[in-house]
Amino acid sequence: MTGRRSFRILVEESLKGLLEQSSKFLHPVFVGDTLYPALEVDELTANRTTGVVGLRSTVHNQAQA
Amino acid sequence: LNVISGTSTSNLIRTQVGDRYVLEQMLAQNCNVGGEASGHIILSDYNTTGDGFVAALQLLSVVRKLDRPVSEVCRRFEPLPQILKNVRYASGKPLDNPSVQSVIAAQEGRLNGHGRLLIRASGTEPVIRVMGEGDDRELVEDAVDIDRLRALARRLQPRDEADAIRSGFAPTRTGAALVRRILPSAIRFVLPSRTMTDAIFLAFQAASGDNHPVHYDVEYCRRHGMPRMLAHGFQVLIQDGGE
Repeated sequence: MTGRRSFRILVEESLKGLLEQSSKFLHPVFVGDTLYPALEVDELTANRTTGVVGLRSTVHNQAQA
Repeated sequence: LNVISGTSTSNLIRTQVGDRYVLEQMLAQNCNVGGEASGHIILSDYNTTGDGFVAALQLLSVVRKLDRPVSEVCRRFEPLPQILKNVRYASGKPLDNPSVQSVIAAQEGRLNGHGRLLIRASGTEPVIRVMGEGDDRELVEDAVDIDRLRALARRLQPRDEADAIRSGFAPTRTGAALVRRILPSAIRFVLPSRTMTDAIFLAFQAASGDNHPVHYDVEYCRRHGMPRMLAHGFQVLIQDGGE
């Protein structure tokens, strides 16, 4: 599924906390570059009352296209 | 009461349901008899709350004064039809929904001034209480036709969960329910693009405390073979925080 649906609307008013993150930086970003971020849900784990959402985040740089 | 007040010297004022509203109006309008359909009667000459003993004593004193049987003293009016129906709902606040409100307005219109419709959510269970009364039973029955309301509720079935939340049909769910039912896996959110201007560089340096010259000194960057100033890695990473 793709689209400009907002993650914020889908998760309603649920309180969110950041559990962990890791990242790789493939290329430098210079001042004046335009970045194109996107998120993709790649993990959904339901606990008793809370849930864990894994998001694969990418930031593309127009200069690196 | 409408009928009686039209033919006697008393005035009738209607308030919201709840005896604190009744009392509020009584104080504001200087009335001395107030009450609710539940039987709560406030006689403000004696007390500021409903008091069964006081009401009973007042009734008995009238019976005594008239020296007639209670059945005769209390037969003061012809009962009008009153119909109460409950509509159970799953979740949310259906009365806040504009489509539901428009059906209620239409149903009120059916009474055409010959009665009234009182619709409110129960404070204790997921039920909408629909009360209609008027001088024409058929008209009242038509006005409280909850099948019509139910049909509307079915038509209003939200397209999806997010739609349900926006239209007030669904409550906020737990994180677990969100993960199980709302968020599809592999859904992709494309965020707006953003140009890494000098202002953003400056804001990030202020927020992070990072003051390496590679982020603010273009001459330093050129000396080290970079054409322009370099963004901090985390400055790039946080661009996905705007969800």
